[in-house]
Amino acid sequence: MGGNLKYRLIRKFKRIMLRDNTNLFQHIFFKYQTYNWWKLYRKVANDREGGKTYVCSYNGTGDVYLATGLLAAKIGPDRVKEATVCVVGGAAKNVASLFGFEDVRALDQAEMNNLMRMCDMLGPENLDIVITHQAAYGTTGIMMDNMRNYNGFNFMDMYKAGVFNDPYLRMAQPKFSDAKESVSKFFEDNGLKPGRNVLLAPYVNTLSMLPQWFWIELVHDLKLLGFTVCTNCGNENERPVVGTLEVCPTYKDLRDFCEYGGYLIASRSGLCDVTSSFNMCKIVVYQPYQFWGEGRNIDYFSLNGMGLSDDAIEMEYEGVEFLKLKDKIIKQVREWEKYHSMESE
Amino acid sequence: MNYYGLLYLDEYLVRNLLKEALIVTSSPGVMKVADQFTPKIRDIVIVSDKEMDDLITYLKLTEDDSKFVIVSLRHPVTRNAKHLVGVKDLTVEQIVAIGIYFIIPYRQIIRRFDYSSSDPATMEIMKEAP
Repeated sequence: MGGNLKYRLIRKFKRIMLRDNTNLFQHIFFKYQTYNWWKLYRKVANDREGGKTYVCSYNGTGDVYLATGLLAAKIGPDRVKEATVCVVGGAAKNVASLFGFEDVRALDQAEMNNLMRMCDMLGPENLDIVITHQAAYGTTGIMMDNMRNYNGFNFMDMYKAGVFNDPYLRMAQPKFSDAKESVSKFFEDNGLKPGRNVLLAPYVNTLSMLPQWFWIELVHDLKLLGFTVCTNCGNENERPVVGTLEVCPTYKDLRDFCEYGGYLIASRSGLCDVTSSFNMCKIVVYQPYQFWGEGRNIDYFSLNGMGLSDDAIEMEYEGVEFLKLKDKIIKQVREWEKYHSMESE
Repeated sequence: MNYYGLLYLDEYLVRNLLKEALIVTSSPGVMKVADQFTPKIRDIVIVSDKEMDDLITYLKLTEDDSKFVIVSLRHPVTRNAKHLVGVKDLTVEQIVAIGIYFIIPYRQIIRRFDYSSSDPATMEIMKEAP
């Protein structure tokens, strides 16, 4: 109630100010607001010689992974060192550093929205920062998102063509650290089985989640097959699935952690983009009832369709048939295990 | 660009339950041909390119731009949609209708216009017609 009243008063205040353009308060308010945005813009703009600032305005892990990966490929290793990258939140900062960016600054979402508005105000001719998102949040720029899935236009096309104007651009290779020793020690200390450990990633940011009970039943079946299971928990709100170990490997250590365990089962999230190049069993579940333009999640975000991976096992479910989905996942895990045990023989 | 902006304006008004539109443009041709596309135009205001830029700047400043639709591929700066034209055969028509006006589901509008004018401003708009 209190919150509502506050926003109603702010709205009323804004309306009074907009009604009359000779209003003194209006001039003071606009000047104060613009001054603050300008200060933020100057803070973010790179003043080093040859350096530029690149802004990833959305806090999705997948968005930042694609934006910084393509950016690194586009500008080359020398300019990567000179560049300043501006992102939203700490997780995005860690993703950007995978591609060698050293000066990565994290803003909060409100600051980022103000920065985007300042960019819109300055116009393309006067801008000395580059926006690496196709539909910067909080602005009227949001129109390219509507084009999703038309003519088969997917997430990768949106970045390659829409942002970087180069449909043939190829992603730079992310640099993960060598953490084999610490990972094997972690597995040993916590009783996880190398090559037979499943990392679950049930938590998502942009898309919708699968029910919690589905993950609990899946864990039960995986344990019957002899697997150990852990849950990737990125922050304090993400709790491990019942019966699993809570883990939070850093993005730098993720490759060794995942490949040592051998299996990832995830709801489609930004983590799937980061792990797409890993050599392991990757099972990704797409929610079928969220539409993007004229297509579905799997049409727009498919890892194999985007060219990030060629061996991801991607699947959808039907209606509320989560038990069928669980059976399908278990079948795929068994097939992967069988195929790879034959290969190693 | 302006041709498709006018062609899909009526459909946009229908889908958003709007009675009429006020057009602000820097192109004199729009004023001459707009009534052939839809009768639901309250008024057309001609401004200079500089004034158009100032208006967009003002909209950004007020943070209340929901009643404005900017029919452009590269303004405001956070919308650099001109790169999309031609990628996977996307056309300017699709970008205007789907991207800007959010006409989803989309069906192409095919109309023929009879005009005999040789006025350059009118031709500037109508030359985009297929």
